[in-house]
Amino acid sequence: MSKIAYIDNQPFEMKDGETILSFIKRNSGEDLVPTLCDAPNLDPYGACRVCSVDVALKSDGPVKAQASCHTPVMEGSYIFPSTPRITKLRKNIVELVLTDHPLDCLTCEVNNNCELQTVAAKVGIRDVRYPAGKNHLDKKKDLSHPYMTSDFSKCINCARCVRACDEVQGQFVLSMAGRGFDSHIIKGMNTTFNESDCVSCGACAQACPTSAISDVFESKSVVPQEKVRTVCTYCGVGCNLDVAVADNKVKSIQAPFDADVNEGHTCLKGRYAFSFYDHPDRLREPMIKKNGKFEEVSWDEAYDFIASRFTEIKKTYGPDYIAGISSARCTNEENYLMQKFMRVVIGTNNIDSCARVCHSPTAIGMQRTFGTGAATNSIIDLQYTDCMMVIGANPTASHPVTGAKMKQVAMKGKTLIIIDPRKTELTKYAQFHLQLRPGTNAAVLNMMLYYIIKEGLEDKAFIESRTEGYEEFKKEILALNIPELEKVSGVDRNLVRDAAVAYASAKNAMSFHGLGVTEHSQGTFTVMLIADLAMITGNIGRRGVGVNPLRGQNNVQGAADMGCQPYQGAGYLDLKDPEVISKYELFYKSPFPKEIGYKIPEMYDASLNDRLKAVWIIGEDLVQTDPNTHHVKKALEKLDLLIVQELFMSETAKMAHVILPGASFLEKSGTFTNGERRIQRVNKVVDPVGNTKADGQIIVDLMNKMGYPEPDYDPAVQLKEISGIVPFFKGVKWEELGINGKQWPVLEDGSDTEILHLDTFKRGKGKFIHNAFKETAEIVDHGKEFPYIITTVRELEHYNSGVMTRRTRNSRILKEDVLLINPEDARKNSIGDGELVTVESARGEIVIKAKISDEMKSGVMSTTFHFPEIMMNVITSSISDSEAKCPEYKVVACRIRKK
Amino acid sequence: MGKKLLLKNDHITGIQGYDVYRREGGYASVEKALKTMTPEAVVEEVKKSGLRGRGGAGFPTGMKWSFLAKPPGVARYLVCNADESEPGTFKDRYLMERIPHLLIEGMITSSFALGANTSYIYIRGEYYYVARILEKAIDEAYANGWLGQNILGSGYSLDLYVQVGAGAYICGEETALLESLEGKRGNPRIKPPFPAVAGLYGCPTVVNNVETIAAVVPIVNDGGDEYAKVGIGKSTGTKLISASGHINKPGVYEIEMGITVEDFIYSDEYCGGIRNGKKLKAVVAGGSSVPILPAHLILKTSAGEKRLMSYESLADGGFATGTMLGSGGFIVMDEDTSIVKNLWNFTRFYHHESCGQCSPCREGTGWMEKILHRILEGHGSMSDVDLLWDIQGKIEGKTICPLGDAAAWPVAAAIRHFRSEFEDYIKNPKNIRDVKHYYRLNNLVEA
Ligand SMILES: Cc1cc2nc3c(=O)[nH]c(=O)nc-3n(C[C@H](O)[C@H](O)[C@H](O)COP(=O)(O)O)c2cc1C
Ligand code: SF4
Ligand code: SF4
Ligand code: SF4
Ligand code: FES
Repeated sequence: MSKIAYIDNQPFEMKDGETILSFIKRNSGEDLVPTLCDAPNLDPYGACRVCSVDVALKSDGPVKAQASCHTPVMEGSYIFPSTPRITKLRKNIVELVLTDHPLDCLTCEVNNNCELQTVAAKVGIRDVRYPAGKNHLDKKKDLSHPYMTSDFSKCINCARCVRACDEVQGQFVLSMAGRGFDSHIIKGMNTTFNESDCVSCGACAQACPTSAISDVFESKSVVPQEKVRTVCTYCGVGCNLDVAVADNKVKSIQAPFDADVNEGHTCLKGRYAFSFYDHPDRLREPMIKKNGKFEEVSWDEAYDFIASRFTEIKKTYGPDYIAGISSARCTNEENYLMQKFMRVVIGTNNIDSCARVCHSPTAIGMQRTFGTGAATNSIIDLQYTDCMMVIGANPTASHPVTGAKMKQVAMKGKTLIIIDPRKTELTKYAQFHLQLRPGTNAAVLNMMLYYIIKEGLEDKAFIESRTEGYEEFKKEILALNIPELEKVSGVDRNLVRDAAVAYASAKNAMSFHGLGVTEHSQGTFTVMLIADLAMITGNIGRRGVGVNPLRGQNNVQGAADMGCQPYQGAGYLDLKDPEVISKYELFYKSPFPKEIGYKIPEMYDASLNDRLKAVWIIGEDLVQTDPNTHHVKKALEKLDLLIVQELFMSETAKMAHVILPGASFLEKSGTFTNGERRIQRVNKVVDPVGNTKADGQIIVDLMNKMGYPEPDYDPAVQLKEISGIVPFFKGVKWEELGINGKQWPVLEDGSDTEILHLDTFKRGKGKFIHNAFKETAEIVDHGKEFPYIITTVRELEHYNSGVMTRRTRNSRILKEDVLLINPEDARKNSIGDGELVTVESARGEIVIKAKISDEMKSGVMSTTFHFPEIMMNVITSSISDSEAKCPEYKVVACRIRKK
Repeated sequence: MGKKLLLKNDHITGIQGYDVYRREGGYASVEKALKTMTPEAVVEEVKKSGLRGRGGAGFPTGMKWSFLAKPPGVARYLVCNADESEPGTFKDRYLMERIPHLLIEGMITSSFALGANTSYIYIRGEYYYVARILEKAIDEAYANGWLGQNILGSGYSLDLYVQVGAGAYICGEETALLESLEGKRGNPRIKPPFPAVAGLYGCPTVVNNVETIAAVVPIVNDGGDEYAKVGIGKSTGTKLISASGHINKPGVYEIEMGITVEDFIYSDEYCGGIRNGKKLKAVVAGGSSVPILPAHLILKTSAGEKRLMSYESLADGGFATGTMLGSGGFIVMDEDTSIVKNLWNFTRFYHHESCGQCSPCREGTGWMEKILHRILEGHGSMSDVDLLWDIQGKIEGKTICPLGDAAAWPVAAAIRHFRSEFEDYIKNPKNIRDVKHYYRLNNLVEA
């Protein structure tokens, strides 16, 4: 039986637990009841009382005013949303609020875009009956911060900002100080935005109904000609953005509340770090290096030059002397075109992408154990999980919106296990922090598996019905030398046991891993161990469980899906299989290369050995970001043709023979696939700056130049082609993706998939594969001479090599790379905070500023690689994961001395 | 002499200490409950007793206890509200100072009944010395095996803590109290959920007043039926009254409910009549928030019956002609008292104590104070009285917590019963006898 309540004596069906406000909104329209303290992404608060409505238990019974935003609807109650009594009440309340608010709307930043103004007009206020009294109109503005601003004379004490900071970001920067009339918002211990712990997420500014908290872009109040919904270009969370445009310029970015991925939230990169797109440094014209100097040329000249050089090299040496590196920053359609160009137009499988340097081990590890190299579950599963295990990831910095959600879940009392050498922000919320020595993930995970078996916590039914290889696996695990593993990892075995028990006994446990897992010589093996942990505890195939890689770049999932790897074509079809080759040949109506191509590190070796002559790189700064810079530079220098397609003059671009200026995400359309396999629409916001072109169009132009007819870049067209060859894209259609996209596999009927491996694994049975811990060669070979370990990480404010974020105000917040060093190590080496340190490895040395911090254990240091001044990768090694060839950025043996 | 159930031993020397308290029969209720009764049976006795919450709202305690959710594996808490900050109310302090073990005993018996293994006494910051008295009593109770693990070998364990507040009246409101106890800013919570479902740390919680919890001791000792024999109608048992104002004998009195108001004011057993032979002008019967009544309405109901000291009788006539027993803060005003000045003082208090969440309360209490101040300063206008009436009407029943009501009711009642006095102030500012002097004397104006 459905339950009924009445609005103005008309019956409507009600939902259990729903508030009166949502009941009214659903049935009588969004705008019937004015609100001030309520916000779509915040818990009801009930403070302004503007949303009051009259409620009676009988149609003619006595009425009582109730705040509709937090009062649940009662079955059979009679709700009167706008009786004269209620309208008068609302008017009086708003009038009281206005007595302590400046009445200078005309000069206010948010004039005509102010919720208070709207509500005041709606309740019919013309003037205020109270003479001037004590007020807070003399409060000073805070303009200290690169992004956030405040003017608390405009504050109406609705606490939306405080709640946004607490409930959405979990940063607890803002609070209400003072009591009653003296209540006022403070930042930190009553300081400025700039001095507070604010992470500039902008949630408070978006939440504030007035201009009391805002930002330098005046995001709330810009009057755009158009609002375009698109997807963030930074990390793999894939936040949706609402971009305000006027006169073909981006004015501001807000987070849409109806976005499944980010629900009205973003981090400072997504919301504020957009001004790189029309920065004066943007490459605006194609260039060819002539006599050692770049000269601007026409697109045609550049294309002709490239086409003739490609043709020549292909003729002289063969197609396998040419390679392409596609970009995880580009759209699916562009990645698809790039691999197609290499395979079908050039005729080589030498195509790779930056997935190589991040999650290639995840793809291989999960393919071998489960059958699919992608997150098994979705971020929404955080709402259903009882335990989160985060391995080698720092989500609050690298996947900030997911990180913020994890904090909220942890604060609700759910178990959090962190396996990480660094005291990341999340460790503050964690029950278990297994602070291992970098490079020993496999040791700790093996210990966990051991204790799960020892304590009898395996999910026998799951193992029995859904997996294979367990008996062998179990034998190997039980034979482990636990004291030895304890020693190498530096983590107390009891702590490991307790964490293992917590993970295994949680009703639903999810694991998350990042580059701290993959960027190791045992990266792929570690991923398999994580998969083993999920299988042994039966944490696969339902809500709130699974193995969930936190994909680094916005479209690293997509680049791999589209076939930008040398051993699998579009849709991960295995190129060693002759049937696959014929399938591709049939599809492309063209011969298809049969030899497996080079992975990126192999390209360097090939060049140095004269087996590679030309490389076309899209959107990747190999020189700054790939390990062992000297080695990379030498390899690139040796090429006959280096084409770099870029936004900025990166360190790699400087070495190019031809530079092609690509368009940024704001200037083109397509789709990105986020870390939960969600294919989302990227919509062009502004026209490409200068003479730049969408990367996809550049590829298409070159295809045509090389004699391969290809229609102009149009995501709808390319997606149609992709859906014909990539099995899990079968039902993807540009027009049907909607605002929230679809999670692959998308079936032919258009239905999508939140959770993988529900009843069976993609590969049939899940496969237990044991991998013993093995010390990395870096430590074995150099550990004695270079006793410290340095590990590279990222910070919230910057994105990878920083080419984009350094060209925004983010660089005023984080200005340089620093070396985090434990106080004890600093003392031993007489290094003071802020002093310069020389860090030396077997490859080279860098000089960097020290920051003394207990985030790192003694013997371990960390640094970022966001700034070219440091060139951190001068010291990293060429060692890489044995399977996927993902470089070992996370372990560098080094020694330090004060400069 | 009326029957005493709580303060019957308060005159005994040394009753503050454990030994004397125990000698006089203290902790018998704990023995009885833990050794011979089930928790449900204790709740049953409290239900039978008809005991109503002594914190102000008068909600039946047995019923409140039976609402407590009991999901398996989730802790439950009993929290004693000793925040006592309502102007005119000081009975809890007297009880805790004089017979601290009575409260401790009540806490143990009540916690047992509710299945709480950790309980708190939240006491206002200004009562820090009382907190010390309680802590000493708790130490003694631990030392003698009444608190801690496996009390009296019953298998029941209880830890009891005293938490001192930081000086906000609002922290007496039960959900603000819980926030404060959790270490947060003392803002009242929106309801539902009610504490019985999600209270302290999100767990089912009962919050009871000091006197309520103390009353559980005689209820368990003598049985709920016996307790219910005392008092009248639905006002069973005895009630502590804090009597203050222009009376001959201010102090805390334990009365049997149902004695007449007249008796209470004039008999020598209680207030002993009005000071200096003056006439009675008005009474605030239940702490500063309940409606003030003029002499004729406090002594007799509008129907002409004698007004009794009971929940029902004081409320007779609704707010038009009646008031509330509230927390039992009985403030008596003689014929010289200025109702407007007194109201300004109350309003000032509520303005200062509003937590500031609800816009009607935050801004409204301020404006009410400002307008009254203006009237007292001789700058009032006739429309001010209507404006006051308007504002209180926009606060009452329209806020998160009852502080809004508490701020609105005194204003409404003063205007209702003494409107002419306001008008007189506005028309003849000279009649405001030496207001400036009054302020200065009481240190109420800055220079
Ligand atoms: C502003 C405000 C202040 C209060 N202060 C107290 C107080 O000091 N002591 C108290 O027992 N109850 C106080 N109350 C009532 C409590 O919210 C709660 O109803 C009471 O503690 C319940 O106990 P009882 O059922 O034993 O009466 C106050 C309520 C409000 C709205
Ligand atoms: S910008 Fe984000 S972190 Fe900073 S105060 Fe606002 S909500 Fe908090
Ligand atoms: S700053 Fe804005 S959001 Fe925060 S309390 Fe004031 S008006 Fe509300
Ligand atoms: S009514 Fe007043 S004291 Fe109570 S919650 Fe609202 S603002 Fe705070
Ligand atoms: S919107 Fe409901 S109280 Fe503010």
